[in-house]
Amino acid sequence: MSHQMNAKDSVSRRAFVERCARAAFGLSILPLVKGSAALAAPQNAAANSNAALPGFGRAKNIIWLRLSGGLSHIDTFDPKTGEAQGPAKAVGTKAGFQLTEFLPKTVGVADKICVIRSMTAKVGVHAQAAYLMRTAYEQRGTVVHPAMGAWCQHYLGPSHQTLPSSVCINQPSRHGNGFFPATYSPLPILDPEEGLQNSAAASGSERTAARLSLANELDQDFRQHFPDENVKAYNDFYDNTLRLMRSSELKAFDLSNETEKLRDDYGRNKFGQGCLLARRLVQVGVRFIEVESGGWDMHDDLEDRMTDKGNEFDSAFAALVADLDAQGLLDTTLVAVTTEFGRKPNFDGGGRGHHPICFSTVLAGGGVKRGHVHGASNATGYEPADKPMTIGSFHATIGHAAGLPLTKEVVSPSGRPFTVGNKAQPALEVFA
Amino acid sequence: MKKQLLFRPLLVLSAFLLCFGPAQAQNRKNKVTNRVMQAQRRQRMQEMQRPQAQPQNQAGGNRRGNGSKNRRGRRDEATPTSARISAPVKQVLTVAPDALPLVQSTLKVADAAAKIDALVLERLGEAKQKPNALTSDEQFLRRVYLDAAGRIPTRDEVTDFLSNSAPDKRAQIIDALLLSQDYRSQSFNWLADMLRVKDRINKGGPTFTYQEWLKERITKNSPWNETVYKMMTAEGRLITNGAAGYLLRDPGMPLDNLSGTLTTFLGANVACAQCHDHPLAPWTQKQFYEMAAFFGDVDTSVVKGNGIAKRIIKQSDSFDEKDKKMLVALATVNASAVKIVPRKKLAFPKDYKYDNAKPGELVHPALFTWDESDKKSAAYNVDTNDPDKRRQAFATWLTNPDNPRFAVAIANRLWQKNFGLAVQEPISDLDDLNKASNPQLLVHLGAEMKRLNFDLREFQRVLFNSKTYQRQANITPDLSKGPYLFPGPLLRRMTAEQAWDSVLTLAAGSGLNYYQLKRVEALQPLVIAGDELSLKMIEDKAKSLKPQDLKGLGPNALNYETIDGKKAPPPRFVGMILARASELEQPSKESHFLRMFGESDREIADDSSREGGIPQVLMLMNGDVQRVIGNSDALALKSAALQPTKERQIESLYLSFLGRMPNASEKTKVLNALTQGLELPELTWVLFNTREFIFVQ
Repeated sequence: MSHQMNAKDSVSRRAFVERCARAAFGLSILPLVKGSAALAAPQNAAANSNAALPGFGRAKNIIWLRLSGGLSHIDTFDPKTGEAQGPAKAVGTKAGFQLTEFLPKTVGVADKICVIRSMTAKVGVHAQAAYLMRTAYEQRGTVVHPAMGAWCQHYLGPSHQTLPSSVCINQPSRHGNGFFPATYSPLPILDPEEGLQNSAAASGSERTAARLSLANELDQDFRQHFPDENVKAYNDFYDNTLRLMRSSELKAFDLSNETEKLRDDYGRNKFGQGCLLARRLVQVGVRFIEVESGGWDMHDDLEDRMTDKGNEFDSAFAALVADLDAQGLLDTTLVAVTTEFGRKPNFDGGGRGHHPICFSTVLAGGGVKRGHVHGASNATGYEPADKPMTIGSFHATIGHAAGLPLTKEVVSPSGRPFTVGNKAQPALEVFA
Repeated sequence: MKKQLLFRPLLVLSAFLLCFGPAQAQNRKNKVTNRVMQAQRRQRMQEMQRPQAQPQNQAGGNRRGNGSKNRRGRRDEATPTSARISAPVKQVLTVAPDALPLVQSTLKVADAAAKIDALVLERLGEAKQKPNALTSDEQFLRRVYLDAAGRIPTRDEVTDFLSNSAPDKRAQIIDALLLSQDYRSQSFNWLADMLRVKDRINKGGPTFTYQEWLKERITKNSPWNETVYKMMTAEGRLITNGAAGYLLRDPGMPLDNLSGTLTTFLGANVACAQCHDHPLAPWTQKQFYEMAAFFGDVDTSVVKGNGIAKRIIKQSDSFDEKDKKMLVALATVNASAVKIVPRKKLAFPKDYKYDNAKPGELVHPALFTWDESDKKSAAYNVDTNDPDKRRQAFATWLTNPDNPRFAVAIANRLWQKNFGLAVQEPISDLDDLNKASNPQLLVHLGAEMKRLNFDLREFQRVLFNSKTYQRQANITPDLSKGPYLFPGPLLRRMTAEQAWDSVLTLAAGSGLNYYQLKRVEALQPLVIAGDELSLKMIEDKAKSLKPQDLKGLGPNALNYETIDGKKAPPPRFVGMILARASELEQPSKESHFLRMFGESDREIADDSSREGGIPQVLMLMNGDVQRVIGNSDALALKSAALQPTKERQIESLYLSFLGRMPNASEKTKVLNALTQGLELPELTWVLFNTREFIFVQ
């Protein structure tokens, strides 16, 4: 056992993969766990000590919005007056808290969302901060940590028979699986208008099937001669891929099934359409969808760029929340607005620098209080003044909502123990 | 519809084959000029055997003139540009023109291999296990090509080998492979995964000099201990000293870098000790810091090109905002460096929590030992007290042949690379050598490494010549039931690089080595002479800079030279650059075949993957690579199409893809499919999508 725990090599990696395999997308025929049951999955959520606490397991789906570059909290969700104030004025909402003029449509759904104004971290460099926000762990040269979608898949099992459990939109999969097997890796959709890469309609055709069946026939001797687990895994991947190509759910990836009006509401840009695609995927049962929006690193021209980017985000986010709510999906779908860090309070008319000490995130749906503000920053937005929330705690909160066992450790192939949210506590007050 | 899309002959690819043409001419030239006697003799032997052994080659044409005459008319009608394409030239191994000769006698190699076999057999015997039967020639050839040359053999290479009746033909082909251009490419891929080679780290200067330095080390077959010594002790600017690229891999993070160094080169399981005493392994945090103290005066922090540019713009009349990009580039290219800051010293961290040192206290360098007796070894006979020579002291100890782990660690890694599993797993934890599946074998391999003076090529030559390597492969063992004792190597999925280079082989034959990445030269206009870099020097250089001088920096600035010394870019096909994995961007973009098939993103050492996934399978079924190998101008397909009968065509494709002849039942199945409308290009799809293709037996 300790030998296996310390192992990071290919074979123990394979053993690890195997231990995880039953939670993986479509891998049903791998042999059961050999030796240890330490990582047997899916875990029984009811055995979790947090299970009785508010909000546990309410979120069946998660849409994780990632604003890369660093969203200026002061110019969006945490308006300030005085020197820190940016180009936009604060406006009131029916939920009682204020947002800025850059987010007029979000103002309209403020009563459905929960703003967290007391996020705090120490990392102010883009790549590292993005990594931390995505995994709750600092980036290291020796291990890669999983994103939330992979944790969910590990503990809860696959969310769908043919579709993947995690999808990431507008970005490659970037290690979403972390130290878990590649089967936990999110399926990347690089352009929501284009749908699934290499899935051209004809690839599910009879002709492909015929070729594939010839390949299987010719391959028979080889497969019989080498009843290897990795060979079998490939056989499964081919079967699953073909099944996916032929499944009716593949239509979920096709945005042309939506009305022009709704597509306009979300915004005719990659982020807007990505959010719409996310909603479609939630509807067919994909558990975790990450949607990326770039261009938030506003050192200069903040006013112009917030006008453009802000509008893009505002339309998409407000449309997504309203749409999910209208379809009755908001109570079971948690939308998280994340970024890398905030931006500095001092505003010289141009832009703002990186500011990890204090920033804002948003949660909406999935059992979270509606029209709520959690925590507060000080008068200038420089530091948290109330209920500071670490990135680990943010993850723990989402993990709790998803019904994950937060205290349970997973030993990575490199032999080190990890948990959802890096041992931080969930902020239970955000739950209704 | 779809079929047309997949297999429509494209002009681009016609051009592509033309582009690879000269490489084949070079092959023949090499046969004459190459001074490596052994390889020459081998090739002559193959030449002699060619006619009777390869009837199908007559249609393909052993001589370029021959074939092109037959083919010209038809090709003219089809596409004018491809009229110049002669019928496929025989595709055989290119011996690197400047390959240095192998040093061990054949007898000595056989001896050394037999010693390894004996140790393996002994351990198998103790466990009452039997070794596997020897591989067939077909299995052996494909395996050794993938391991030594990083690609599958061409059809001609297969038929040559199969028809060769020399009793020592396996030893011959091993030597030829190790002397080939292909060996270098393969070795680089292996190193790049291990050393996390990336074109750019954070916002630092490009690492092109480092990469070309590594390639040169491979070309010169430089001893491993010397290579590592140079990386540890490199000083100065990256643009003029490629070896500096190793320490600059973790800019401003010397502790992470050292952790990687100890793990990679010694198999010391220290990763945890960076932050706290290791709970299971012997290392304490104090020991880790004592090792790190050898690098206490080294500064690898990333240069703020942005800051430098801003300052120049502020203080100079000649530059403004629009020059910023150029100034940033100039600053980073020149300022990325391993600097020595004599007063800089390592202190224990603020949160140090053990009794044996205080937070903030200066750390005295000390070499760690695995065992009390280690201290007696010659490796520890270094002066660790000279404050100006600390790094040298560390490097001397690290790379000393008598270092308790250095030789074993690299030997174990090479074993893993070629057998699919190391003698001791994981390769990153060799703290207790008794945990090896076969401790005597591991110790012996370390001794062999020393005997061969860290010549990695000779070491692998011994491995490849062992019966152990040449036995049939096993499936993935269940290690919870006991150690794997190497009755044969393991069945492995190809690495991403092997798969990509094999695709190129199917498209371009042995001409795939024609294009070599040369990116350092294009950076030269940016280089500022001198050691100490000042703002003024950057400013002066910027004034003399022309826009085209920046071309060497762009993300697509993949400057190439052909092996015969011409400047020429490789052909592109549906956006892909058709050059070997070692001659592409490092690492490739995430959507590239290489990454989808498991190339490491180079963030973590040895992180390449052999796992599948749905996006990957979608790519294998519908991706652009299919269009490359299914194109009528792709060499494997083109050579098959030239065969006179359907049966011969099938055989030709089987040889190209799987390195073997189809058996009767397979032939029947394919013939039936062809009768029912399957087209020959589709057979490339079918063979490519078998497990037999992507797995190495």
